[in-house]
Amino acid sequence: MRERFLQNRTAVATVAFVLLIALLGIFAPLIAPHDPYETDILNKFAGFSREYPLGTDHLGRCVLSRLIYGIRPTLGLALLTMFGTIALGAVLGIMAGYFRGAVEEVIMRVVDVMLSFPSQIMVFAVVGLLGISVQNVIIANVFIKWAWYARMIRTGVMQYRNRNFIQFSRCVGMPERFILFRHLLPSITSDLAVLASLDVGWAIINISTLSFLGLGVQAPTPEWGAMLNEAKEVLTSNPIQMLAPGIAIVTLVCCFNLMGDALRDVLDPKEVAK
Amino acid sequence: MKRYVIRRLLMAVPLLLAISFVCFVFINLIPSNPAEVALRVQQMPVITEEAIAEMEEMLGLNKPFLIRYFDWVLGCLRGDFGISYVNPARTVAGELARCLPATLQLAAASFVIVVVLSIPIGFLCAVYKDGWFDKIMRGIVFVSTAMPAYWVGLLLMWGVSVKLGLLPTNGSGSVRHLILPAFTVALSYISTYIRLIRNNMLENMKQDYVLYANVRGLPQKSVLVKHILKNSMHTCIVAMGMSIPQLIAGTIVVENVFSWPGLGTLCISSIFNRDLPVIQTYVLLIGVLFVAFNLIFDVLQTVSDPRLRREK
Amino acid sequence: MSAVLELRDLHVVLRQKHRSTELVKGVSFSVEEGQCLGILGESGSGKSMSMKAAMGLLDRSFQISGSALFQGEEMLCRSAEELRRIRGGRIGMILQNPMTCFDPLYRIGFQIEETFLAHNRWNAAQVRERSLEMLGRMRIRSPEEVLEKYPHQLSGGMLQRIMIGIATAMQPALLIADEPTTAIDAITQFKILDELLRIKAEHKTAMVFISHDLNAISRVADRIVVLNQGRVVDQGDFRHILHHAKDPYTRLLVEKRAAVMRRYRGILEQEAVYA
Repeated sequence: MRERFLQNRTAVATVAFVLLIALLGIFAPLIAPHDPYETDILNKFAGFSREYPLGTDHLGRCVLSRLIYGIRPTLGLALLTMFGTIALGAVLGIMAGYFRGAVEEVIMRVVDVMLSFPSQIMVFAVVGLLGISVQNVIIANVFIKWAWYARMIRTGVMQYRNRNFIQFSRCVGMPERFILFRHLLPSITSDLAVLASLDVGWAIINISTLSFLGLGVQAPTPEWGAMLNEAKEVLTSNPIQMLAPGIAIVTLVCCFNLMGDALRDVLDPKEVAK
Repeated sequence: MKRYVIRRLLMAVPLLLAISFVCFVFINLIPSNPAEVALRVQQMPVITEEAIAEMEEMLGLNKPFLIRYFDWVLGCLRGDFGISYVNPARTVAGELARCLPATLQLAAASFVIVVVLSIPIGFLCAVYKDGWFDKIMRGIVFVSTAMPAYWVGLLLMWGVSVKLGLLPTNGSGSVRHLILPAFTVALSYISTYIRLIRNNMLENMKQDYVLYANVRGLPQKSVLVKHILKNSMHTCIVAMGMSIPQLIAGTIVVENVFSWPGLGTLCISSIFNRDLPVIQTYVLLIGVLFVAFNLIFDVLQTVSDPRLRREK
Repeated sequence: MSAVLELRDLHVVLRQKHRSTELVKGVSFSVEEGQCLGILGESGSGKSMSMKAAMGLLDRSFQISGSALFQGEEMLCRSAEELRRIRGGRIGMILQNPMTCFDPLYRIGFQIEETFLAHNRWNAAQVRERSLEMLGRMRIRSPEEVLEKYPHQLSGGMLQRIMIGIATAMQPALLIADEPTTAIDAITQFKILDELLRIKAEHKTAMVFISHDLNAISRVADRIVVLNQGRVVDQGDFRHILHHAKDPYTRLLVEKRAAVMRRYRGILEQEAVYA
């Protein structure tokens, strides 16, 4: 598995890139040239220079520093969302797949209803009803996505349930909970990894969209979507403002999408046989 | 055939009930009392117990939960979705009716763009698989799926409207106003469908009937268009039709970027104003559209595929 | 007698991203007028691959070299359009899965019609007349109704006969049958083989019969070529293959078959004793 991973150049490159971005975000105070909140109104809309590599925004804040600090909410919230989604989806999916019967019936009917709604509307509905805050954005995203994972994990569990090694564990008399976590989770991890890395990109776009509309992360916090919201105001006079955060989003999302595809190749045994 | 349609219709009923129930529960699940929210939204200076009680009376919140649900559903069936918190003089139905045409116009225009662009591009990509056209298109598709719609909107606005001065940046009223927002909404769907059609056609090309069509010496054009494309279109048209409600929902962001006076703009301003009934009804509307379009295209697919069609 | 189809040192290489695999490694054989050549081999031995290569049915990821002569003319250097005109007209072909070979969205009548129109300039009445005549020749009951049916409404054996009908309708010089009996039940198989024998006897058509079934091949073929892993390992008539096969793989095939036959006879004899 590790060898196959190392052989796949795209997988290595994208994972390395994501780690690099994450490190940049974690060590933002050390790396960023300026304080992202420090305004310098006299020096607003400055061009590229040594001091401000990507120029300054409408309040004279360093764009590069804001981008680097922006990694924290952008990537952090997306990862948090995915974590919540997978956790909720896994718990319900495993319950449905393993215990069957009434539990499964109830969970799967709820999943059906969830999946019959257009996801984008649900995000707005949840945020609209709970009120505007970062926490609600995450709740909304988890709320609309968990059903996909629950269904996928349930299918996975049902497939693995009947495999010999699980039935063997049962015969040997291991407790159910032990079987679940020791055997089932590892066997569906690969599917999960692929889907999750594709969905991180989706979460980044979603969260930044909400921030752009003013429903998520609020100014002056440096978040890429919120930065674009500010850039929109000066679209006609200073269009350069909207390039940096936009390109940052596209690059990061592309990277996660590539990573998902590459992981699929690495983890899919059929691909290797070719 | 008729039986099948009726059965599908009946199957949609529980789903619609579930959707309406979710919408209803939503507004009742929120931590604060809806009556209190309504009073606050109307900027009542001091919120007293009596005022809340009066508001509850007015909104019918003092009845038992299930009764309220049935009242609400019956109201919805009659086209009465309640009144707006922000402006009690206005009904929710009226507000939605005011904004719906603009959104439908935008969604229809986007749908046309999606169909007109994605089918030929997907077709050409499949025919010239791994050629330069296919490679370029695949690159564009890949990048465009990573682009947030609002950013695309901003880029287009800047490039087409500000730099070139070709089209207005916002507002509505003419076809010229429609082009940019419609294209922005369409873009993400175009890439989805290019990929869908391309893969579907490539999948079809491997089928036995294509080999046999070649074995019989049919002209290349006829094999590609009459057989492969037609078989692929079957799946794709259904997927496209089912995505129409998503297209309508997808306008929410783009409408805000281009200040398009449709449902999306209404919805976002309602979120800012905590105008819960409007949000609730909007969600219900989209949910119902979703079920309806799924139903329509499912039936259409059955009618158009000889394998699924029952003998009369 | 001149060869209708002659393959000389035919190679087929599948080029993939990182490697290329040689699937057919220099195959040579020929078929003459009125003769039936059986190509025997297990799946993946390159038997249908070499015929598809000769007819231009492989896509661009396959690299073909060597020579394939049809009625003395080279096939490999022809344009796609020229090959198309030969296929279906002068060379008929029957494939192995009749149930999946017809486009599910069109009526049988339309699919017969489009084949006829691809090679002839007939008007609607002529097309209909010839279609009915062809179905009649294939002994299909109520041909008018069959024309109006969709493929999924007909049985595999019926579709297979229609396929043979289409392949032979334009008096081809060569008929290629690519495992025509694999996907259908034993009784239909028997009838289909009869049909092929009849066509061969009536029209003096050269025939290539591809199969992994020694039994079926022994019934129709005058001469047999055994392919294994992309190479010709044995050729000759059935008797020769049965008794003098040099190649170990051929002998294995023959022995397996002989064993089955012995067992079969053994059981029959036992039953005869008890009865």
